[in-house]
Order: sequence, then structure tokens, then C-alpha cells
Amino acid sequence: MDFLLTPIPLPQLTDFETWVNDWVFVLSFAFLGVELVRYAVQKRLNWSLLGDTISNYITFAGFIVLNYIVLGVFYLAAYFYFQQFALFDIETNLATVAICIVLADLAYYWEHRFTHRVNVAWATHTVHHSSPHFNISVANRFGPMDGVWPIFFHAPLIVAGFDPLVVLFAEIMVQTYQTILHTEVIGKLPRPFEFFFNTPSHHRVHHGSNAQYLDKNYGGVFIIWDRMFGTFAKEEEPVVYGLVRPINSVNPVVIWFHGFTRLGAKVAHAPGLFSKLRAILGPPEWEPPERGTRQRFAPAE
Amino acid sequence: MLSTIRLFVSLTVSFFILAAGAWAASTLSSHAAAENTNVSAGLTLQVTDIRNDKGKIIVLVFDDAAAFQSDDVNKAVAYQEVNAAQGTLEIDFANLTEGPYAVSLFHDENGDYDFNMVDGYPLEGYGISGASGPLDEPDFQKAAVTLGTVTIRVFYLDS
Repeated sequence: MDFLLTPIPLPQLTDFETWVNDWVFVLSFAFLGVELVRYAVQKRLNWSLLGDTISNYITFAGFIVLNYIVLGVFYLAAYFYFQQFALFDIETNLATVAICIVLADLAYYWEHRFTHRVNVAWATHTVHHSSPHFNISVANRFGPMDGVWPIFFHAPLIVAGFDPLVVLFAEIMVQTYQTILHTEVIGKLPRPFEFFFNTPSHHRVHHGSNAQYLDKNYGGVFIIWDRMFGTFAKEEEPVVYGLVRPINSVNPVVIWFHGFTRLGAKVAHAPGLFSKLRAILGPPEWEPPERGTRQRFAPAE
Repeated sequence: MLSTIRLFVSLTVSFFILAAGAWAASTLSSHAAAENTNVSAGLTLQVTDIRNDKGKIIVLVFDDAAAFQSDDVNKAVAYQEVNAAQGTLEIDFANLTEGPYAVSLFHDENGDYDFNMVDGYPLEGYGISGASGPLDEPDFQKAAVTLGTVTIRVFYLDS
């Protein structure tokens, strides 16, 4: 078992991370080809789908520019800042990296749940959910601020004592695992696997706008978290992908900013400071009361 | 209300998992694995900043706070005298296998086996484990070291 405890040099870890990331991206293009052929055979291939697919990669390009150039610096600075508060002294080896990935997945669960339930975070994450289709190109459909929220939810791992670069590695592994879930091609996997792990089936549910599928299956690698915390739903009736209120556009500018224009409109429309705050921090489905009919206090749930 | 309680419990469980995971990870180190198989356990001193080759470095190791405080040679658990060498000198105490220990040493330049002082002012170099500077006189708790390699700097106040 010595190999589990042999220290791993950090450059080796980041090289591996780049290698995995790059190859998954390249192979996802090949897989997209398979999916497009399948769409054609099923006579579902049309200009709207192709436009949506291209726009997915345009949002990805914007996300990369923002993340690697602007956020990247802030991200690493924030991470190394938190390192000084490290509680445990944790070495980097296969065993501890594996534990870090499990914990990063738990952190991701809460980050993901937060971005669905708090409107200001939903304003950026809604981009990922605004496609009415479900194929591997949707995995790369990101909003402008999607790189901001992970910082807050993964900082506790650094305070716990994991190296910032190991945490970043774990985050990227969790993200990369999810990339390959965005497909209709794969049905249901063997039951033990479906029980423990997030699968294409579980993630189709997550992208559903059907009432029983809303705000379900937040998990990244493990679906166990959803089963534990009561947010699991099984794929039963056919999934209708996209938003409850669709954007009906393949324009990348509309796709990227619709969350913020919707948030802005809701805040502007909300009467009084408290309902404006609630429009920002409340859940996406909350609607401010009509002007003139507002009550002294915000209505209870 | 029920959903708020559920959220709170879920978050609490998550923090517990995070703490347990981090603690488990902290125990999984190659260092811990190596310690169990390391046969050359003991105390090794790296004595640094020795100013010349004259005389000897005389080292006393204590495992008792009172003996350490009074610098009582008769109650030291280990004693070594090593010919001084300018720079850094490594001194091994392979037979010291427990601890904690506090180390006190001086550079006996004139070879009289005494730490020479004038009016309470040291004429010869000295060093104590855990000391942060020449005027630091750590108590046993602060001076205590466990096994492995410990660096002790020699200070000279007369130069």
C-alpha cells in the first residue's frame, strides 16, 4: 500500500490535470459528432439545435477568457490566503487526493444547490440550464460569473488543510466527470452504480423543467449527497430540458446575460428595500408582490 | 419550517464529514509510515554558528524540568563533548529514544570544562534548544524537543 502514501509532487498533479482536461475536451468533440449523427437519424437535427451548439462553445470561450485571465489570479490569491489558516497538516498523496475529491464533491453539492436557490447566483448558473437540448456541448455552456461561487464553497477545504492546488485539482476532476454526463445517448447504468454515482440519467433529471425534476440531483460525482439531503429524483417521465421560462434564443449575448437582465428587472420591479433584497437573495421562483398591493411585511412562505 | 430544519441538519452533517475527512487525510502521510520502520531513531543535533575550532562543544541533555532549570550535570540523561569545528557540527544521541528532551550546550574554548563568565556575562558561546535568540532562556516546556534532527545555534556575546 506504499504507493497510496508516496508523496506526489504538485507539478505532476497539475500536469495530469491539464492532460485530463484537454483530452476530455478533444474527445467530447468526437462524441458530439456521434450525437449529431443520432439527432440526424432521429430527424431532430435543425438550425436551432446547431445554433444552440455553436453558442454553447461561444459561452465557453467567454468563460475561459474571464476565468483564466481575470478570475484565475483572484482565485489563486484567495486560495493561498486561506492556506495560512490550515487546521490539519495534510500531505499530498493518492490517498489524501482521493479524500479531497470526495470532500470537493460535497462542497460542490452545496455550491450547486446555492447557485440554484439564491437568485443572484442563479443569474449566472441559469446560462447552463437555458439550453432546450441535452448533449455534450451543453456541458461547456457556462455563465460569466460561474467561476466566482466555487471559491467560497471550496475555501473550507483549504482551511481544513488541503493544499490549494490539490483542491483546485479536485474541483476540476469533479467538473470533468460531469462533462461526460451531458448526453441522451447513455440510458441507465447498472443499479449499484446509479445508487452511488451521478449518471447521465440523474443529470438529465437535473436539467429538467418538469415540476418534479426542479431543484433535484445537485451532486457532482456522487449522487449519495442528494439521497442524504433529500434532493434526489429518479428519471421516470421523459425530461423536458431547459428553463421553466425558456429564453427562446440561440444568440450568445442573450444566453450569457439573460440571467442578469431578469434579475435586474425583478429587483427594479420589487417595491421597497426588503423585497428588493429578497429578489436578490431569495429563490428564483419568488416573485415580488405587485406595486400598490404590497403589504407591510413580506408574505410568509 | 421543516425544510429549514432539514437544511440545517444537512449542513451540520456536511461540516462533520469535512472535518472527519480532513482529519483522516492528516493521518495518511508517508512520514508516519516511515516513522514506524525507522530503526535509526534518536536525537540528532545540528549545532550551528560555531565561531572557531578551539576547545570543545559540551552538550547536556535533560528529560527533567528541574534538572534543566538548574543545569545540573549529575541529573542529565546524556552528556557529550565533541571537538569544536568552525561552522556546523552534527552530534548524535542514538540511544535517546523517548523524550521530550531539553538541550543545553556551550563552547568550551579554553578547555577548562567550565562555562566561563565575568559578572554574570558569558565569555563563551552557548545554545539552548527552542531559544529564539541569545537573551531567550526558555523553560523546559518551550525548550522541549522530540526525536529527529534539532538545530541549535551557538551565541557569543563577547564578540
